[in-house]
Amino acid sequence: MAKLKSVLGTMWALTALPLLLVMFFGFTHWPKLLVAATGLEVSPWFTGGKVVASVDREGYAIRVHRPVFDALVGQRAKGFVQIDFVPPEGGSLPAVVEESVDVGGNPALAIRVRVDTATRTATLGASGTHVDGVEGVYGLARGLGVRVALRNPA
Amino acid sequence: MSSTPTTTSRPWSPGLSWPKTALAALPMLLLTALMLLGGRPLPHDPLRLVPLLAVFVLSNVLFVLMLRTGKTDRFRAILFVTVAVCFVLSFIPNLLEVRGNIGLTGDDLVQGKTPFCHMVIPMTVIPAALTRTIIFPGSMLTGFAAIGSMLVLWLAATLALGRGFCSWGCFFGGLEDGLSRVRNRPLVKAIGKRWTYLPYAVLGTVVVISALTLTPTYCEWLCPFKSVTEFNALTNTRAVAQAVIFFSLFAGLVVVGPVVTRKRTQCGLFCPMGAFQGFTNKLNAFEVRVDRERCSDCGQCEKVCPTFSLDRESLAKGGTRVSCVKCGKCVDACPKGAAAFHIKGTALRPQARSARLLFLYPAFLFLTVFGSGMIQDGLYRVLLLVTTGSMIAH
Repeated sequence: MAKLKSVLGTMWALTALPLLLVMFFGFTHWPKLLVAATGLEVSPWFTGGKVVASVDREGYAIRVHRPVFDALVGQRAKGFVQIDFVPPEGGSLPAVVEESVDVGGNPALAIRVRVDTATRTATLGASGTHVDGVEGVYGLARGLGVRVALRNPA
Repeated sequence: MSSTPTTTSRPWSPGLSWPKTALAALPMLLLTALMLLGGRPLPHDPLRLVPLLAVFVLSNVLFVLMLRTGKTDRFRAILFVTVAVCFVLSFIPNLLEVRGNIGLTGDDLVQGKTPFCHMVIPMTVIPAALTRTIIFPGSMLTGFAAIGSMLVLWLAATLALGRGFCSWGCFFGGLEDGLSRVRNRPLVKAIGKRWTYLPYAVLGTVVVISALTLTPTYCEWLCPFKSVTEFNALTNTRAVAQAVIFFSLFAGLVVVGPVVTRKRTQCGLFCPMGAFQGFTNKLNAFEVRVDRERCSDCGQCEKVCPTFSLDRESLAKGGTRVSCVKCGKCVDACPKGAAAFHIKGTALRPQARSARLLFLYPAFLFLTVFGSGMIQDGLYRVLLLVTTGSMIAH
């Protein structure tokens, strides 16, 4: 038994260096494999979640993310939805954009938003009963993202 | 010191003769050359070439000295501290170049521009398991310190070294390690054992709160190293309160604590990542053991241990506590040669030299390769400052 333990211990110790070498030499590959194998992604509380609707307007496009109510288990009572206003390639957003946004087809989450792109401020117009207000306006790699606070209708 | 130590009544030393040192150092020389260059030609820019050569020479000289003298911590610490200092010198100018500021804005968070570091890992485990998401505003695969890359580095280092990661990989630990060596004698000599359980309490608290809030609580409120990396732009009271906490913890645990106690106080008394990493020591093949037959109970190892990992109880059992970072300080300090690196399951004494070598190769290679980018960029920034007056490349 002692001999077996000794052999196993030594074998485990011997794998340390090759393990690191394999990790370093394949370093461009392993992170991609890890992410693909585990399906891990950044929390929607930071990214805004997946884009579920896209509308092209003259001079800009709107991308509507899914509403984020994610909890560790189940859903939270409060969350947000992110609406991106994206200018055309190489262009810029109009000074003011005003849009009515349908969130998941739920009238309680319907949003009327007006964005002043110069001052990076947004205000809500007549919106659904579960829309709480503008949480923030953020600069994106291209355009602006407006996060609107919501109460979970579920 | 004898060049060919033997098992006599004299203290045992793991040092090698010069020919054996040369032979044992050769693989490291080749591996570091291969890894530091990574198949690329030498850079033409002297500001890039000099740091590259400096890292190569420094790391290999230190490894040779480690092998020859049998001293581990003395030479590890030089590289470890250099990595930490260069990390700070490199990180902030890099952020200024990439993002234009060091204060994290809402834009940076939404765009996933925050570099990921290993300190977040314990907080991500439960949410990752239950929601398949990482609760950190970074990028999975793209940009500086992407989440996937850092997870792979940590995973491999943990399997290879256990909590040795904290002494051979953590780019923050070197700051404390360096500062704990400033004074020759500690001003505060005794710290109650109960305080050494504090990291586990911090770990439990931040893991639970992070899982419930789906935010990295430790990063938001408690990480001392935010002081030397980045924190929320001071645009509101909350951000100011966070910054005050970060700087207070940094001053107390990373600067004053190590200086007055000669211990790594953040690592040993607060760090939840360290506590988490301690559990991985159970899975790792390497450990530090104390030969009870040789031990004279002088307490020198307990005195020098930077992370409070040796006490009377653990010494009576011939080992360290689970928090051991495998720095080798106790091994270097033991006047009887009783403390030694050991492979679990093997006999204590006959394999001590080979156990040390088997540990040193992966540990030193990890420190050198993982730290080389930081040292190179840190030195590059210093050279840039000297030659252009700015640490930012335009």
